[in-house]
Amino acid sequence: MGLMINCKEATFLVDKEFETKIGLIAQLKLRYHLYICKVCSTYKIKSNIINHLFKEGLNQKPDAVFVEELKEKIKLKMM
Amino acid sequence: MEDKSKIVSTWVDLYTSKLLQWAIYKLKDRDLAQDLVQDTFAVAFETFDQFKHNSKPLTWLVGILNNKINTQYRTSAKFTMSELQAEKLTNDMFVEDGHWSQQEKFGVWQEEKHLLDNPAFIKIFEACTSKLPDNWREALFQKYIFEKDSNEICRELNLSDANYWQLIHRSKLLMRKCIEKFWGN
Repeated sequence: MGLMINCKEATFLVDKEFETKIGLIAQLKLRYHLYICKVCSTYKIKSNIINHLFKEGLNQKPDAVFVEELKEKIKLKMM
Repeated sequence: MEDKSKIVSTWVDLYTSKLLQWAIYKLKDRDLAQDLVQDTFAVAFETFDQFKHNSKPLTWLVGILNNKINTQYRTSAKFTMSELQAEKLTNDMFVEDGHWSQQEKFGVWQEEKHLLDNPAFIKIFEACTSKLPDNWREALFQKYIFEKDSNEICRELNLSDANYWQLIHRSKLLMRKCIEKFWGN
């Protein structure tokens, strides 16, 4: 096992590293891979955008007035 | 004993919005979602004694809501990818030695910062997320909307730690590819 990892392993580490600490050796291998592999560095940029998209895009909040009306409806039922 | 209607109505204030968001996301039908959220609180009120006070109200409520949604699902067939299909698709992005397959094209995503201001992009984004396997989407939603940590999600969805990281990773691989297909140039 040298310092080389392949793209499949590297992209997995990219996604994991966004969320949690990865080991020091893994970090080193990933840095090296990203340094020499343009496709995977592009993947990292896009993966970061996707994080942001999930956070914002999944989070399309229902209309506030609608929610307040629903709350009142539910509470009335419980009386 | 604390007044149960008082407690449940606090929950109504705190969690209606998130539960509704989840139900709309799963069902893609606002009216139906609204009905099921109402039913959820009705059940919570009736079965309040079964609520264990050391557990989180939101988790308990989501459990009730999911039961309602699943019953609904069985009656309305909906196409999403199976996990096996999704795994095969992501495996096929790489060749045997683990390098990107030749077919994987990486385009440029225009206006990256304002993607979500663009209605056309939101449509693509929603179409892409809705194709992910059901329990992958569920994990993503738990993570990004309910802001649960990985341990909690693993426990609830019965996933190992390794499976969880694979799931997140594969979801993102598929999202990238899907967005690339409809948005990249």
